[in-house]
Amino acid sequence: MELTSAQVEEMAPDASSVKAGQKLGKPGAWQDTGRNDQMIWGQCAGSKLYDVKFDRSNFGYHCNCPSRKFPCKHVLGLLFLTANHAVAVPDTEVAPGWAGDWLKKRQDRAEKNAAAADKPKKPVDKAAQAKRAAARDKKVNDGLTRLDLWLQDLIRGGLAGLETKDYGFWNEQAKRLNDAQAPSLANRVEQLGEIPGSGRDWPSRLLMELGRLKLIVDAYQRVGQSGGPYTDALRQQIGFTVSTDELGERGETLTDRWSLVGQTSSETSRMRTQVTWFVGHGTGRTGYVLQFAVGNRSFEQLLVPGTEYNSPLTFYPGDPQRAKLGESEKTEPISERLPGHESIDAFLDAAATAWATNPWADQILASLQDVSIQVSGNEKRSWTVNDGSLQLPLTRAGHWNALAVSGGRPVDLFGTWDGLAIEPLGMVLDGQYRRLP
Amino acid sequence: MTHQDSLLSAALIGSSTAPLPASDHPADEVVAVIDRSPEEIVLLRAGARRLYERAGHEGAATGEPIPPCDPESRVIGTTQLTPLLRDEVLTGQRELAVPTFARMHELRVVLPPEVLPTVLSLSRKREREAALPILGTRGRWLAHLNADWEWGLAAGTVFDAADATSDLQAMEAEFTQGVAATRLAVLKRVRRAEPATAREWLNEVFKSESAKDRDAFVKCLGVGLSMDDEPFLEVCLKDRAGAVRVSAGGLLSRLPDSAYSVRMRERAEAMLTLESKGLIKKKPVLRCDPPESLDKDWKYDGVPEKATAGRGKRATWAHAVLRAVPPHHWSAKFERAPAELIEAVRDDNFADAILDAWTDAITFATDNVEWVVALASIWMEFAEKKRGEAAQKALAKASALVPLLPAEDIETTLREKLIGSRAAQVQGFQILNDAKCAWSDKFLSWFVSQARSVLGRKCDEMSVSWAEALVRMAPHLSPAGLATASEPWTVGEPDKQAWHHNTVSRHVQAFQHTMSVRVAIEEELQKSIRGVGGAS
Repeated sequence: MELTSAQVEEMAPDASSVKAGQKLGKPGAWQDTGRNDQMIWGQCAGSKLYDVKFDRSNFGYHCNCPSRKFPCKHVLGLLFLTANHAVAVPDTEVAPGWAGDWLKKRQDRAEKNAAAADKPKKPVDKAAQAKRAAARDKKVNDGLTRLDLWLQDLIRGGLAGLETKDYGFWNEQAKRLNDAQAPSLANRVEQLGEIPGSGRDWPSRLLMELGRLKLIVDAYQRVGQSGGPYTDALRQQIGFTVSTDELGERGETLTDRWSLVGQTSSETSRMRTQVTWFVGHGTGRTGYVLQFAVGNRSFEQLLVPGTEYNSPLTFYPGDPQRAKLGESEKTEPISERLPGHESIDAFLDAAATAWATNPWADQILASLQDVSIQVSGNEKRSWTVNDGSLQLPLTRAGHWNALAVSGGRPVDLFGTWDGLAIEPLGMVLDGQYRRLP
Repeated sequence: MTHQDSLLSAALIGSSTAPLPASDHPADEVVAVIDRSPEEIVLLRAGARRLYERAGHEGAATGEPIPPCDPESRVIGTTQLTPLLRDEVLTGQRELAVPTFARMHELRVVLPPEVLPTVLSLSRKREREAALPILGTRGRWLAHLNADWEWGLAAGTVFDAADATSDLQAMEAEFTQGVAATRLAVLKRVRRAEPATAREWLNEVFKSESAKDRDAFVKCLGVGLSMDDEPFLEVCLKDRAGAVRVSAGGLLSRLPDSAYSVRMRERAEAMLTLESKGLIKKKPVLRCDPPESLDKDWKYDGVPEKATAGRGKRATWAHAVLRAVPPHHWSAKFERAPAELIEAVRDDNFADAILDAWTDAITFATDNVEWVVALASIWMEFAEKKRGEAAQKALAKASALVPLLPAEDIETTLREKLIGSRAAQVQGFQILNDAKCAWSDKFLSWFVSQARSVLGRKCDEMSVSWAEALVRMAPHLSPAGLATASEPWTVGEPDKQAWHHNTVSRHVQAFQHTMSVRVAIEEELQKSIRGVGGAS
């Protein structure tokens, strides 16, 4: 499939890589470029000549430059060149040896890995494993007890004045939770530090988030360790990971044509997080793939919104939304209408059911069919989506791009809904996917 | 006080001070059964309420929806045009914006929807004017929705001059009620087809307009100017705003039969006399004798009372009067060729003011090429002989006259100068830089070919001028010339100064980059016309 310039931007590890890639995405920087059904290749003149290759079936890539960013500016440059100056990357049946050999090795390696996955694994020392698990449980419980006391101290002393505290006040608690091996909670607590002083309604927002933390702590300590229906969801909220084996054993695996309809990224001091939302054509299931990357490393899978994967997808135990996408042989662009809710009322019903199943979910995917984007007001603009009967607010301001593309016509809109507003991530109009904003 | 307020107040103040509020919020019922400390109750209530409100959101009834945009009747640019416009033209190479928009207008292609918010957010006047005809139906629709984009509302009133006045009533409504940009565009459009109607509309609203708008509207009367406009313009001569009086006077001076022009001619003829001097060989001498004091009638006709910078009072008055008389009046009156009259005036005390006045006047009497050539020559001569600021001013005057010459003459002059001596090349590049005219495709092709030859041979100071001019030409090359201009360039060996080579190389790379962008844009525009890769 052909990647657009916007999709190439999404692949970049950071904004400076986008700029560097765009600078290299001009014909003058390249020689011996070409493409066929399987790959794109080219040689970029930098301080020396760099060989750049890109696998079109699964977005794998390689460049022999010494950069520690993935993908590097040369890979991005080749893709920008292909997207914006197609004539400069001519169709060529056979790739040159330095490019074709790389693809062949890659395909051979994939076959080898598939064969290795089928081999039986070494037996696990169950006693040692149980001992480690018990030690961790104790650490986590101790950490949650301390967190609970800290939360109560905040309420006892009052929230007024917290806007004068520096980030260290919150980071200290986050560090303790990391030490207690509760990294997801640590993340939440670290993010609390951004709320005080961030708008007139910050006390209300902070209180709600503190209340949410309290619900998680309470629920985990009372029912989260009993093996009951909420155990897996609560363990995920704490930060327990699920191994690949466990995911395979206990997760729900479905095969469908999965369309990637939107993506968000965020960054903390420790890592980058990417959330890619999907919709299944046959099953109608929605959810997200969560990936992490440390430093300048790229995410494990290159997931580009607007593409589709025919592959198995495994939902995590206890979480009807989070999933891991299996390997796919090829990707295709979204080219037709996707499943969604026919009305806002139907979607809100579905959202209520989703939260009843997993009360700790931050967001739900809103997949709305035939809604129009509306704007009102001039001094203080208000943005909504409207199905003719009901309307829901959109987050942030400035959805002009979405309005310009839709022209006020009904579109199929995809975004995340947190119970207050939708953050639009993409839309399908006339069978074509457009990423937002 | 609402449920939320009382709980929030308790949390803000602190449970050690504030009592736990009673509540009947539905979500509190879940917590009510739990026996906990006040702090825990506050937290659990807050958490429960948060979930209750989010999961229980019911949506709001819809307001009046925005009517969707009408379908676009013109060709829409391809989606691939968006990154080229947004990332290359409007971010990287702004000098390409106006020519690109003009090319789209020429091909009748409107902007793809994704780039409309970026274009509507442009603030430069020239870019807005160039973008206006290609905003399309969707651009105008968006402009209605955002007050910051109201300039886009004029789109659709200037796209086709051909169907200028198909609905005069609607246009009159736009003129009386529209925003400033729309009103000006409508007035110009109507003025082209029905000048009297436009003048009548203007007359009705004129007194209530601001000075700035009155001046802009008066200038519109330059389109389709005739003696029928004289009464209105005579009234404008008494306007309280100086700019309006000057604009009105400028227009009246283009009507030789107007009372204003007759008055100015009489004053000028009283000032300027031709004599013959010399014992053996008589040579003509023009004498200028402005009055010693300013008559109040002169003031009412826009002659400034105070001296302008660099001139005395009498020179200022001479300049103001003479610039209102077309120079060909003097060649007819004195029966002398323009070059003779210019020679005749050069030793006069007021020569500078007279030559300036004739140069100003010729911009409205451009059909007299002999005068344009003669004035351009004298200014070129001064540019060569004088020094410093005087030389620069003279060269600027000559360059300003260049666009009035037939394009062929300018380009012929430039071809001679640019392959001439170093001094000639310097003048040539100055004219090239200052002349704001549209070069012919033939000249541009010649220039690119010449530049390729010069830059491939050597890198010296003149090569830098060639390279700089090449970069400035890049946005204006015709689409037919892009392929040739895009062929690889070589840069010659450096002379003693390495920076010449570095500068030339940098400029050549910039030129090549511009060519690649322009080629890509042209490809996408052609695809748009063929209906390939289109937006909807």
